[in-house]
Amino acid sequence: MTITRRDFLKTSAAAGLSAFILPRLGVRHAFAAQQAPVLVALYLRGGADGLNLVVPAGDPFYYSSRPTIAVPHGSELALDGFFGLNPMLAPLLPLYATGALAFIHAAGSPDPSRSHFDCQDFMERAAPGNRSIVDGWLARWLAGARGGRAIAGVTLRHTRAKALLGSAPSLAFPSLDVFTLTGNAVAERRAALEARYDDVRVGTAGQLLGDAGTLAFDAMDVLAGVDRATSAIYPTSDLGLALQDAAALIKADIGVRAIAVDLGGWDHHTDTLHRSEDVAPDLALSLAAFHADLGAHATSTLTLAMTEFGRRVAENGTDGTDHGHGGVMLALGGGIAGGRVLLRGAWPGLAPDALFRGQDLPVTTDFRNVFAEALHRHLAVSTTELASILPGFTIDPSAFPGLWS
Amino acid sequence: MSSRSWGALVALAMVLPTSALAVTPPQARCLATMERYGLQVVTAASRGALGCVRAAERGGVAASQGSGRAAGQGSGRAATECLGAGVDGRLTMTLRRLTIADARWCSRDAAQRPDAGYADDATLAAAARAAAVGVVADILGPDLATVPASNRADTRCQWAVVTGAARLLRALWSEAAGVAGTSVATATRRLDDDTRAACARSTTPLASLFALPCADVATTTDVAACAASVARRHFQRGHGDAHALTVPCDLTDDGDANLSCVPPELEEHVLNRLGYGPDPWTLGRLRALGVRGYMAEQLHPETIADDAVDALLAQYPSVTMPFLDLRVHYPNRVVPGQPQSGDVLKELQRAKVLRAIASHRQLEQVLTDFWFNHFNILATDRRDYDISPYERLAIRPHVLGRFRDLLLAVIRSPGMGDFLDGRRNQVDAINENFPRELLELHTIGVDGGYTEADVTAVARVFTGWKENQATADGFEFLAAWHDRSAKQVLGLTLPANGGYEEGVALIDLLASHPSTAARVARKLIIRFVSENPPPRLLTAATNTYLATGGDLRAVMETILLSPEFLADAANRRSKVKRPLHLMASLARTTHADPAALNLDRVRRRMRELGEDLYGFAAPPGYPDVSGYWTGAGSMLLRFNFIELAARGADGIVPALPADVGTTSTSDALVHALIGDLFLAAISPTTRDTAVAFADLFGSVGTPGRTAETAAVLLSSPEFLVH
Repeated sequence: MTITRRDFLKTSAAAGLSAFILPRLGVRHAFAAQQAPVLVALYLRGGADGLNLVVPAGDPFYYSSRPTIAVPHGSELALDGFFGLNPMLAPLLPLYATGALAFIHAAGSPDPSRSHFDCQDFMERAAPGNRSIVDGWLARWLAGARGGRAIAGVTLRHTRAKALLGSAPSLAFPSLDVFTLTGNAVAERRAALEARYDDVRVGTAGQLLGDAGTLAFDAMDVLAGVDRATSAIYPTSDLGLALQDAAALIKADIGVRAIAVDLGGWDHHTDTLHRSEDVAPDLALSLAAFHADLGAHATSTLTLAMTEFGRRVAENGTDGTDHGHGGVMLALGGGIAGGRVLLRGAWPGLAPDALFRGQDLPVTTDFRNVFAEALHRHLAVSTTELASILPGFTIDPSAFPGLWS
Repeated sequence: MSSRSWGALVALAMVLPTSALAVTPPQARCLATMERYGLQVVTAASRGALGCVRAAERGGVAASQGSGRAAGQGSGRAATECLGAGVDGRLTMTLRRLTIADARWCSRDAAQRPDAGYADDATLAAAARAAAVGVVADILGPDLATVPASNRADTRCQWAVVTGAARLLRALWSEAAGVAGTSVATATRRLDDDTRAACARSTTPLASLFALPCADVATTTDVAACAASVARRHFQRGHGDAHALTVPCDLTDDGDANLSCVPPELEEHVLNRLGYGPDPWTLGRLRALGVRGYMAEQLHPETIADDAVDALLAQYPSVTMPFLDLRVHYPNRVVPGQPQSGDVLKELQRAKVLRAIASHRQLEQVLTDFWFNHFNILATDRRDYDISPYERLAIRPHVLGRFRDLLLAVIRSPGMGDFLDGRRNQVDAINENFPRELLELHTIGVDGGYTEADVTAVARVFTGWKENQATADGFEFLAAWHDRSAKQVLGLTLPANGGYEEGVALIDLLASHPSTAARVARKLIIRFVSENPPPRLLTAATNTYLATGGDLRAVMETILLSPEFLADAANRRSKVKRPLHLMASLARTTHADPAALNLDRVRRRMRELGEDLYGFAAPPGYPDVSGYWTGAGSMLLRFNFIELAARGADGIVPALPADVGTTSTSDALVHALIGDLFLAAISPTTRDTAVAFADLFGSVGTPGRTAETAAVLLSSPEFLVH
């Protein structure tokens, strides 16, 4: 027999609700010894300048293309014999040294677009150039693997990331702080609203509200038990706070499998050296704190940082760079064999005749190969399942960047 | 329309909802009987309410002391009680007979009870009484404050209008009930004739003799028409409530679908799409002018006086201050006792909230928000002095003008110049940031058919367009920075030495481009009609744009007067309100005093709710799709905000009806709140959960019971959408 929430309201009013909510939400506490793998997708919005983050210091054309804005020669922190890390990212160097962190260079989308919004959508939907695919790649994975458990997907901002938009329900909230009902008559209000939102399914707006309202109450009980206490020291930035919440969610082991986080502010058409100070140190400090905070969960948590495109190789007239093509991706944790800057094939070089349309770093690693390897190796998705998560993409493990090998 | 065909229409309307169900003879007898008794309640309650008017004229109940709407507010209580009670011997008897009839014809056994068209005696009685009292209260004010103490000519005029409207209400109800009596046509004519005869000798301006729905009338014909529309509306709502039926009022009033009678669903739709929800002023205007008249007025905001809001805005001098004065009066350093540069944004945010809540130019506020968002820029400390003039000079003056002028003003503005780096774009130091977004976001769109070479060429065209805050709009063309060479852009050949004018030519090309027309039409339709733009309307609006040279007022007319906007019920309540809309509509529907707002608190709350005002970082602006605004977390943020606001703890002080005791306490409270907070129908689930909540909360008079019950109603899906 099905108990509807209206019946429940009639009979037991504001009594404890969690008894029948928890099964519906599908939360099961996994054994701590077998932590389910988690993927954190960190989106660097605006088109991060891969060449100035992971500097090809061994390429003379880098310096000649960027007389004003190159990371000064010799100030970069050596990663290998060729690449150096922007000193603003110094907090990441220890993670690189211990093998927890890797970069994938000359990575990006095969689509030539230089539009922020197209390129972000293409990447979050893992469907370059295809505007008819409108659900997100993480949503497709969750739909296939997680059977509609809303708690499995979390976007740490007001609205769901496009990577998590799709048939699989998922949660969005800017902070764990908001996940509570405040004010007067909380129990009675909750009973009334919960009953109300269980019975909205009229029209698109009603459907949206019904889903979001029902999810809100379900998730409230689960999230109430998440302990945010940490000894890690995060920067007091939006990203720092979001990753602190992400770590708390992962450590609480309540069934969260995919988390989307944003860091905007990378679109430096002007004054890039100055404006990088607003974002690069934040990125490095936040990730370092996150990794430390995760502790034993660090190997079961893979963080992928991505951006919609890299920037033009040559600087523009205003001490910045315009939109380009190939860029850099970052992988942290998840038990990868890091400490490397991964390249598919040789470094294409920044000589003018080596550039994509004569201006941009070419893409040698399709971002979908990074996604595919993460899904396959970290999240244990079979190669046949990969085909439905990455539609129209030919799965070829030999083209994977080799994060674990 | 003849009374026979009218009656047939009502009969049809009554049959429609139950067409799938057979009405058995016992059920039909119940329906017919209760229609007759409902009419008796209307008649008796009308008589009682008119008695209150008579008493007020004689000073028998305390109404206004003196004349005019503003007078007598303190002493109006007794008149309200007279209207609210209204139970004379006749009504008491009628209600008793109604209950007896229900017991005999509808409640004796289950087979009598109809599946639709009749709920119970209490519902019928309440709806019929509310309609009868509502007619009087709408025309003369809820406390009869417009009833003058002396001046017999005025008294006669008011009496003719209010009795004529009451007669029309009875006539409408008789026809619906199939009971012989004065026909609707006769009642309408008598209302018109009597009003003209009685009011011709009135020396007081007519507008001051009547309450808000009819407070802006100029002629006796207008008064009669307004009173007739009040009667029809109360019939529509009261009869609909009494019998749980929806009668298409625009067809029932004169048989012509001409929007002369506005059903509450359409009222709510118009006020929630052309503005931030209903408030007494906009509702009164809509009822006085009809839908077309209201739209025409809103499309000409310069004709609408907005004194109250202007007076409140005077607290924020930066909102109207020229560029250079801003730097003087809002210095970029701490000067004790003086505002600082950062206050320019705060004042603009406060002004935006205040205008959304209190401006009579509601459509202008919505459009200013829309077009700011289309040409979005982000407020930062670097743009302290740019953001307010940007909205004031580049956006607001053009929202109902030509798109080409809007585009030109935006490109010349220091705000956009800084946000997308155009002000630093010069020959030999090209910056592609602005040109790309100009093509992709502002005009032809990413599929509009441009190449990377076009992006670069557009950048070269706009070299030398830089800011100079000493000029009126903060712009100058610096020839020395301009790329003088010839250019090819989107098939347009621009010869060398084109100067400033080649930029203007490019703007003309972009503004008249079919792709721009289609994009503008699509975005406006998504904002005003549906997130799935109907193809016919898309074509119509695009064609209007192209035929008028991008006249945005003409495009808006096409959209707002379309059947898709006016008649397609699927488009109503189809969008989730954004936080600003939610906040403003809450303040408006609860009659919060604009002067008592804590705007600083509200503007900070907007940020927490995810709509940081002037704070969206990316050039496309906030997405205009409901999915963006509905996450699990944001639902809780909204519920918590609504609860705070409903009890006056969040910068908004609502005026809610008092929690007064009657025999059915929680029902009565929820009924009163619903009438106050919602125009169109809400679901039984919302009502039931609110009643259950009020029961749980405590007995009548428990402090906070009204506010918390209102919070539950305002947290319902019906209020979160528009």
